[in-house]
Amino acid sequence: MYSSRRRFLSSLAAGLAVCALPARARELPLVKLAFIDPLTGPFAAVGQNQLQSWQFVADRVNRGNTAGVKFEIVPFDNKGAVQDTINAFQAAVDQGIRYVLQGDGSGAALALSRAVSRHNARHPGKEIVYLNYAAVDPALTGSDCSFWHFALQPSVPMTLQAMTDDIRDRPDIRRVYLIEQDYSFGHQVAKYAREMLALKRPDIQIVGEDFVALGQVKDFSPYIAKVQAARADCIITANWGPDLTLLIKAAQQSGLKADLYTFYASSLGAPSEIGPHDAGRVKLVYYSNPNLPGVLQSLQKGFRDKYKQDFSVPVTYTGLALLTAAMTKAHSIEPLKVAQAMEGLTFHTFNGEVTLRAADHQLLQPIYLSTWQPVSKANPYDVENTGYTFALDRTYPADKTTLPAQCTMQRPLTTEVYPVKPPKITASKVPGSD
Amino acid sequence: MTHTAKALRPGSGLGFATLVLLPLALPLHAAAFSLLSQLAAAWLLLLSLGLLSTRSGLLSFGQALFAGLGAYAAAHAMNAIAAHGWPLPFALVPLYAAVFAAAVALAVGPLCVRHGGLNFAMTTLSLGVLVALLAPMLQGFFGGEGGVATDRTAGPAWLGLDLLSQRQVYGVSAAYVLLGAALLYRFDASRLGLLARAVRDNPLRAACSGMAPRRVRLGVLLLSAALAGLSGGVQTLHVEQASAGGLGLQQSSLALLFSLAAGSGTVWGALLAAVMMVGSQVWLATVSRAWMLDVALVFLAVVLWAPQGVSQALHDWALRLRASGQPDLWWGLAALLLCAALAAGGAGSLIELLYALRQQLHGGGMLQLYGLELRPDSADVWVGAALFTVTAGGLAAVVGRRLSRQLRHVEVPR
Amino acid sequence: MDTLLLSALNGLSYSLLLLLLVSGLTLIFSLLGVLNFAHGSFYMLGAYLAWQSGQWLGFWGGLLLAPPGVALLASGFEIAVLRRLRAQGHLPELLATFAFGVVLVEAARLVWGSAAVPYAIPAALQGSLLRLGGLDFAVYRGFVMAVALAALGLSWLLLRFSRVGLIVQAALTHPGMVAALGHDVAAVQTVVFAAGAALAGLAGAVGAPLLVTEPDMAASMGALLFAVLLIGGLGSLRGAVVGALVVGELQTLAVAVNGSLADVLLRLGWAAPAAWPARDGLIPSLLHLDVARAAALLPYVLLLVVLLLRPQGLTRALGGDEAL
Repeated sequence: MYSSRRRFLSSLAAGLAVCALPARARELPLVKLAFIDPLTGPFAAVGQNQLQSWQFVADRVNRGNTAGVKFEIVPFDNKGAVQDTINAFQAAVDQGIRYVLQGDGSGAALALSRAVSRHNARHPGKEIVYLNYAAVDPALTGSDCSFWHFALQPSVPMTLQAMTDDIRDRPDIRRVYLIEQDYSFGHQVAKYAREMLALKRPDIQIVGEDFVALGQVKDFSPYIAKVQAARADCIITANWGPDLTLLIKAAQQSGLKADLYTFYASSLGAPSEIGPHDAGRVKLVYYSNPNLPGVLQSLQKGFRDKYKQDFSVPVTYTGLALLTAAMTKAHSIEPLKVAQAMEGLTFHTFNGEVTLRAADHQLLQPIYLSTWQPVSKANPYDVENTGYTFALDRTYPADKTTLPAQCTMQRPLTTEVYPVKPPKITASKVPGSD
Repeated sequence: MTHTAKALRPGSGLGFATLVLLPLALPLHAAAFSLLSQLAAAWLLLLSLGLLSTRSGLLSFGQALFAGLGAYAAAHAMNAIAAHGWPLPFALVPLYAAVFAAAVALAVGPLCVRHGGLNFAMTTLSLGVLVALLAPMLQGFFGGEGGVATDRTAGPAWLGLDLLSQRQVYGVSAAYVLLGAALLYRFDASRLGLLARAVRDNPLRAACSGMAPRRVRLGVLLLSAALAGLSGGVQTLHVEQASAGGLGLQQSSLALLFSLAAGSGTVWGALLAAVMMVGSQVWLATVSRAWMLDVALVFLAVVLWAPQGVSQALHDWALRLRASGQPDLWWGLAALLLCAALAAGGAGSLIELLYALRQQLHGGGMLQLYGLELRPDSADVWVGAALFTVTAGGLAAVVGRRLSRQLRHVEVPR
Repeated sequence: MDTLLLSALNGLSYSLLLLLLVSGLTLIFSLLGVLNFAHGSFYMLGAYLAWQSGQWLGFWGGLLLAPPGVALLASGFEIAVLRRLRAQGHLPELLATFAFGVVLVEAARLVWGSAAVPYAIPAALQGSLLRLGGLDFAVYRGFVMAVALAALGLSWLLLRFSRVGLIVQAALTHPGMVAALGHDVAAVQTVVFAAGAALAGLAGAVGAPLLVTEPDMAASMGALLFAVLLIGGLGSLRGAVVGALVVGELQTLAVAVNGSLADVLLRLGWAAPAAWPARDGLIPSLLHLDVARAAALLPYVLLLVVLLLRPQGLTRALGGDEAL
């Protein structure tokens, strides 16, 4: 009897002690994320949409997350130029920001990755983590890979694995034409496309390959003429921006019948330029699809209501999901510890369970093949008010598309990996019981 | 275009050197030195443009080409030195960049200087655009889209400099600024300098007198390209990255326009132009989305009220004020500048309000201006800003007119 | 063969669009002596005005309203700014037009946003005009060609046979005399500036549905216009025609050429080195660069060649003060 009253009182005391804890933890730690991308200049539209996406998702995540942190997005304008990216990075460092987000432009990404590595080497204890959410260049996770760089967008070989898998399964495609932009990214796409198609369907002929100077070509009709003269069944293109929209428009005007496999047909403004035409001919190979059920639908609706534009960068949600999961695991917001926690981490985001591979810091996620079709009951999301949507055709899980990592990175040496976990307060641990 | 654009009066040469070296003695933050290094690189580029336009009457739309190629050369040199372990100090690498840029100018110069004026401008424009377009396609020298990265601390130690801190980097940049100023002095006093001005003013007469205009123009172009190469080298030391983005027409024409607007044929004019250029691209761009519009409006204002360049206009005003012998008029000039600055601030606020209004229509919020929280859709704010601008502008106009009237009959001793 | 013909036709439609743009530029230069750096912005403004008025009045309404709208804005700028700078020389005018161009682009960003607007080909003009080699030659491209030819024909007729045109022609070479005869030369200059701007606005209004309508379209056209202008020869409409045709067809037909300079040298019997001094060396890279890849660069290469061999352009005689 005496022991049960004592037990009751000690449980009550323990319970009150537990309730008192949240009162002291009312001030959530603030994590500032520097957003470095074009906000003025020729790429301003995309950059502004990306900034709004990050801010929107941050507002959502700040309402409550497992790590118990608050995110603040601090914008820096790099005007799309490499030099200004370095300046913006310096400004972020001077403001004491420890996390950097960037995605528009592989040139800026490469320069930023090197600047981050240099900075971290020169200032131990003040490291910066760089989340690359859209820039794709094989060097970033290959020859130039760095411990502090994390790639959230599928790499070129991953996207091409999915694309060539679909082409392999289509007996009606026998002649393929490659139209890429004339810089290292475009050349990589052409190289991998050739290799993968040769492996999977040796009977497929690459009947033509053209590289277009970045952003210079106004009239794509001669390229369409070449495609037609080569009697190609489909075009593989990783073009973005006007190089993609002008290509698609030229194909429409010329009445070209070939399919178009694209990387970036869902980027801001491209669907409007495609318009309610080309049903069944434009294909998108991407890590997202606007008709995916789940949290993506509420994100898309909320974003459209607030900003009157489409939520075309869902990787922003993945980025914050990654950060919160890593901060929860590491019990810290220190970049070094968070980076170590991010390696090999599996977490949940809008397109399912994804893993950040430790070897090269590449996020492994499903890739979707979609086709531009009129809106239907199965695929109801109206993209950019055109009446059309990207109808989900096939899903390629991560294990189907990943290739071995090609990165040997130097990792920082630390003796302690994670802090010792605080003991859990349970009734059975209270002295005097049992 | 000035007829007797001297680089500097002897006394103010010392003043300029003091101003350049002063920050090294002050306990400034690393961010401040970083900004100063950028100013130094911009100064060198704008001086090279000013040299070409004032001494030779040539407008170069491709100066970013020489600066960009110099930057690449510097980056490659630094990487090679670090890889092979040669005992060449990194602080001297900008000199190599200058020589490289001059060599490029020697190669393409004869094509550019065959005719002056518009022909020169368009040739440099097409060269600049060509190289900018080729850069992403040629991986070897230009390093692809990411450019060429380098590490300024990887070189051999020299005179105790390891170039780790921004202060040291600025020290090296300041040395090159002084070198550039010295080169300008020597040029103006030299035979080539006099010939350049003769060819600028009357090429036919110069040719008849036996000087080959093309040779003279080429000489000036070589010096200008060397200065631009120095600028590129200094920039590579500072940001440790050479990229193709700086090669394009946009960069070239912006630099040229700042040079013309400020009048960068003198060391002080180049300083003003550098402050304007770096100030707008680095500081204003971080503070406001409207920075390009602000810059364009400032250009329009400068072209309307100081068409020979701001530094030349200020110089003229100063000369006339001194010659008038009325010290009170200096207060008039100060009042004019103050009212003009206030009017500019007011106009800037109106533009900010406009941008904030657009932002608000698309989900944005309040406007933060000069520490005040303002609502873009409230009429009071608009009326207030407009009244402020109009008042300040009106005052500036009135003061300016009174001052001009006072100085109309002043003879300036030459 | 058919495909080549189709390409040539497409190139022609592109050339005529360029011609519409450059004719305005050359007209402004020949009378005012100023290189109008705001011309690309007039082109962009024409496209936006056409789209915006098209929202209320339909495609044809937009097409009719855009050139006068641009002309109005341009004449306002000319009266307010350029006239005051005429005495100062050409350099301040250049600066002013550049600044005005930027102001127009930023204003477009403010009003319509940085993203592209969906200015599309109207339903009445969609479809195919002819079919060559399995591909369509779009009706709209034919429409663009027709509009360009009509506008230029009209301008030429006005210049040659109307009273205003005669005054303009006289003012081109003898402005002092024309003023002495009692004509308002300043007004003539304003009219010419506005007409040049109207041509650019028309080019934007009619060409933008084929391209992308965004604020950046001004800057992307800029350098190409000057290349066309100088290849043809400054200050002559004939030069503009030659320049536009040459550049347009060159850019279009070069895409069909898949060889490189090294291939030509091989035919002549010399195997160009594939690697000197390194694998990615500058010289081998240039020699092995396919002409198709370099298609976008060719106008500038041609410009350099023309400036080297015939600096006055392909159609003009050398002026007296340009010999040196």
